[in-house]
Amino acid sequence: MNMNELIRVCDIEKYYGKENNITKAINHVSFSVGAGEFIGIMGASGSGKTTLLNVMAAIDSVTAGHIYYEGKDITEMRENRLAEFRKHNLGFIFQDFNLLDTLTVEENIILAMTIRNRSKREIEEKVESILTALSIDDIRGKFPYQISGGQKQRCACARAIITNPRLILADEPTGALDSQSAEMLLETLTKMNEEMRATILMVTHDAFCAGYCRRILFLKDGEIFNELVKGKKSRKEFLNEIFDVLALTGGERRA
Amino acid sequence: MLRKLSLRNARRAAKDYVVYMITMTIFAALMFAFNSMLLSRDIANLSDDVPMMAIMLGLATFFIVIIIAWLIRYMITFMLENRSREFGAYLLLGMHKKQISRLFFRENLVMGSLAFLLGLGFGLFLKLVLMSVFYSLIGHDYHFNLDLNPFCFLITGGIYYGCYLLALLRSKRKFRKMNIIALMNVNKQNQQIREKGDVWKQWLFFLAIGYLLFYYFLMFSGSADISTLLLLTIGIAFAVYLIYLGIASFVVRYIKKKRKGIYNNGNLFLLRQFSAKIKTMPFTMGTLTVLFIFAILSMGIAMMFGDYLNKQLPYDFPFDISAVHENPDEDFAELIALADDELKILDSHRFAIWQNGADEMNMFLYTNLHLFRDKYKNPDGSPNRQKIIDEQRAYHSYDTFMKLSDYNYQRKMLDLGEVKLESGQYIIQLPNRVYREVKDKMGNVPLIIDGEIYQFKGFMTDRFAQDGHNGADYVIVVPDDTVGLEPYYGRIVITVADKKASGLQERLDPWFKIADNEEGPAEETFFDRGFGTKQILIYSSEVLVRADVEQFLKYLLNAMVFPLFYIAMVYLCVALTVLSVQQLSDSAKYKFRYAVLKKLGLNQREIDKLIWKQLLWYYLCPILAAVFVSAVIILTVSDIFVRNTGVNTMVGYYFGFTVMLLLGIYMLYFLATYVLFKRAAG
Ligand SMILES: Nc1ncnc2c1ncn2[C@@H]1O[C@H](COP(=O)(O)OP(=O)(O)OP(=O)(O)O)[C@@H](O)[C@H]1O
Ligand SMILES: [Mg+2]
Repeated sequence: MNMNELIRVCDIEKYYGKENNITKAINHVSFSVGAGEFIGIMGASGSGKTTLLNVMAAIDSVTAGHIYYEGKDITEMRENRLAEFRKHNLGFIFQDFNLLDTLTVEENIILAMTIRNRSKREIEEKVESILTALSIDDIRGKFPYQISGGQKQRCACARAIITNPRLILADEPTGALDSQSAEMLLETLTKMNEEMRATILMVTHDAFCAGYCRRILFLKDGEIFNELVKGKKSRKEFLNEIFDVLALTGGERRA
Repeated sequence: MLRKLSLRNARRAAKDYVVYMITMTIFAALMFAFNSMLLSRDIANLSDDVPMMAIMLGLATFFIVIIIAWLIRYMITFMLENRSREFGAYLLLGMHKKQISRLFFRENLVMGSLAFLLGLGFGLFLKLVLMSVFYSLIGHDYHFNLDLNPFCFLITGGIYYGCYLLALLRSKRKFRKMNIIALMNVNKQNQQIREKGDVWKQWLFFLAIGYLLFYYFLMFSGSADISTLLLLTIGIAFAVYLIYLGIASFVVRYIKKKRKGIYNNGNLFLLRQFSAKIKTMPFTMGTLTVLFIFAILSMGIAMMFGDYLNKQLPYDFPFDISAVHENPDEDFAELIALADDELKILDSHRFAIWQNGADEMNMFLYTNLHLFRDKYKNPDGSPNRQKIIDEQRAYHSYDTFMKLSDYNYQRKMLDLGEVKLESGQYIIQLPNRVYREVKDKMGNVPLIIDGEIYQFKGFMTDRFAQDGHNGADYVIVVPDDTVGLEPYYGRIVITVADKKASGLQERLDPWFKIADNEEGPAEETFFDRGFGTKQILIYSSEVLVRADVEQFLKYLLNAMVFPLFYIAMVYLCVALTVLSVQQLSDSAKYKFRYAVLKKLGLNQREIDKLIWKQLLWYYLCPILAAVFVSAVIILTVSDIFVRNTGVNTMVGYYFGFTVMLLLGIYMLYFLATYVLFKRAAG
């Protein structure tokens, strides 16, 4: 077992639906995440990626199994302590953005800071720099329904990482982005991973994005069926390996 | 296919739009209850031969129908907005607009009719409750009486379906004009933001506040005349709408300038929520506020009249029968005969009111009462005697006096204790209303009779028929041995055995008129006599039969009080319903927002706090505005009322009590909404 293990997922299961109409979204999954890791999660659509992130963020409950953060079981925690845990450790980038429609782009980001009681000066500085880093400062005054999907995604990203969370759970953060914006975002995440020692779990469909990760888990029908570690491999070698695995699973997708 | 869809929709809509259904049911119930009250025989009996009640109720109904029509239209528009996305999707799938609008029409008709039938049932029950509330308010007993009137069903149904169809047709037209993207985006247009062009709007907010403050100033300083004030009062309604037009922009500016307040926990979220809400419906919020203002004003004024009925009426008419005659030696033989015949006389006292040929006291009052302000003052402060004689008839030509024994006899008839006076002393008997204004000064007016200076002993403020009978506004009581007084006019007071209204008043009125006309020159002297300075609810006559006068005034006042309460209640119900529906109908939207906040790490307690604050702001806004606006009006009116009727009530009482009552109801509504809202959105 890893000495500076941050998360341990122990044999979790998640079922949706009732008796005769059950979907096993996650089926006996176990793995652990070390502090400061940058992990990718890949898998076909419907393979349970979002569900996995949701239960790890304690936004959803598990049907069975345990998830430990630094030895503490969050599946047993009370709602209020979970809220505290989310507030102070977690940044979540949602697949469907979850921006507040009454607030502008900038205000959506500010709100994430104010509910954590940061000071006015700190908020102003950070908001400025993150708006520039993700190049959304020109749409800062617009409302979510006035901007494109990619812009929304970057806004959601900014909101999740502005608080410097120790753990970032990102659900397809580059799904709606062109390659240049995607690269910019991934650089930002990498920087946070390397400089701030943030632990990152990122769901992605894109092999190129997955290439930024140190380790990749492959999900299929709710189960982990493969795992790749970058180790000392070059980026190109790693990408090739990813493509190989995808050919196994995604084969049916492409067919 | 269409039928299946329509059926499934109706079922789903009925479930989704419970709020809508409940509201429509409440409207139908309210309308039915009030209409059947309006047409009920009990109420008709109450008002008897006074058409005022019918007129007032008719007027009230007119305003209420307008409001309810507005409400129904509001609900249908709201319904259309909520479902427009779904309709957009149907269009996208290839359905025809006509099909959809027919679907919508049919669906609404089914639900509306259902609500109507339910409403009738509740309405019957509501009517009984309201009737007993009203009756207890105006101090009558109510005996339960279903009193079903088919005409009432017809009227209620007519108004309900009339409003309903009108609103439906309107929204149908609106719907026809929309294209798919417009339909799909209706919900998102929440914060139609042309914020740049909006800056000027915040000045509307300041302008309106400024106007209100100016209005306050004018009202309290008393420096404007009534017609100006009335005009300005109409302006108040505009100011209210302006406030709502401006306040959202004001808040948005506040957020945009990044003032410190927005960096505090969830404030940013709340402020945005608030401004978005108000921005989409400044007109609705304004109308709600105006409704609350009407409710407060109606209730306050109704309470004043009610208060007069309970407290002041007995004070103003203390004697069973009381009369004056210009002949100091009048024997009132005919009056006595008639009264004894009708009501059986137990006790009576005939005497004279005296005068000393001077008018110092009258002049003092003409220059010191608030009513006259400085109208009759010369620049040096002395009374402008000529102007008074030319213009005023409030007081008799001379100061009025009463002998102590006559005074004490009357006191005994009223079960009041005996008063003692040494020779050379006098007391002033006056009503509360006047006493309050002159208590510090009137005793200092020197009283000289026949060259002798009399010494002031004090005031008495017991009930004493001083609207022209025992003096006008006051009478000076002197010892029996006072010399130098001339008899002025004749008086009689009578206590009778039968205290019930008998119509004697009406029969005596012409008798006194004829008596006047028989003696030509006497008319002059008679008409120089005044009836005092009471300005509201005056009933003056040379003869007063208490039971008859009281009955008449009670009818008159009830005809005011009843419709005013009626208006207040309906407006309150309507406004509160709209307010709650507004929030509850949006709870799905809020549910998403609060879920996001939760995912961002707010715990349940913090979310509950946000919900509480959001609702509180939203609920407090219209009621605070309404209280603020109506405070100045009610306080001014009740000041005038208290001063002029002499009711022994603190000026702030009517306002305070009304607001307490309304806030109580408001609080109940608020808490109910909060609980429901929390369950739906939390
Ligand atoms: N709320 C829900 N109720 C019922 N079933 C659900 C629910 N959410 C997800 N599922 C089912 O669980 C399975 C896993 O869903 P999940 O959203 O985790 O997939 P995913 O891997 O994120 O897919 P994608 O790549 O398309 O986002 C799917 O079969 C889905 O239909
Ligand atoms: Mg997903």
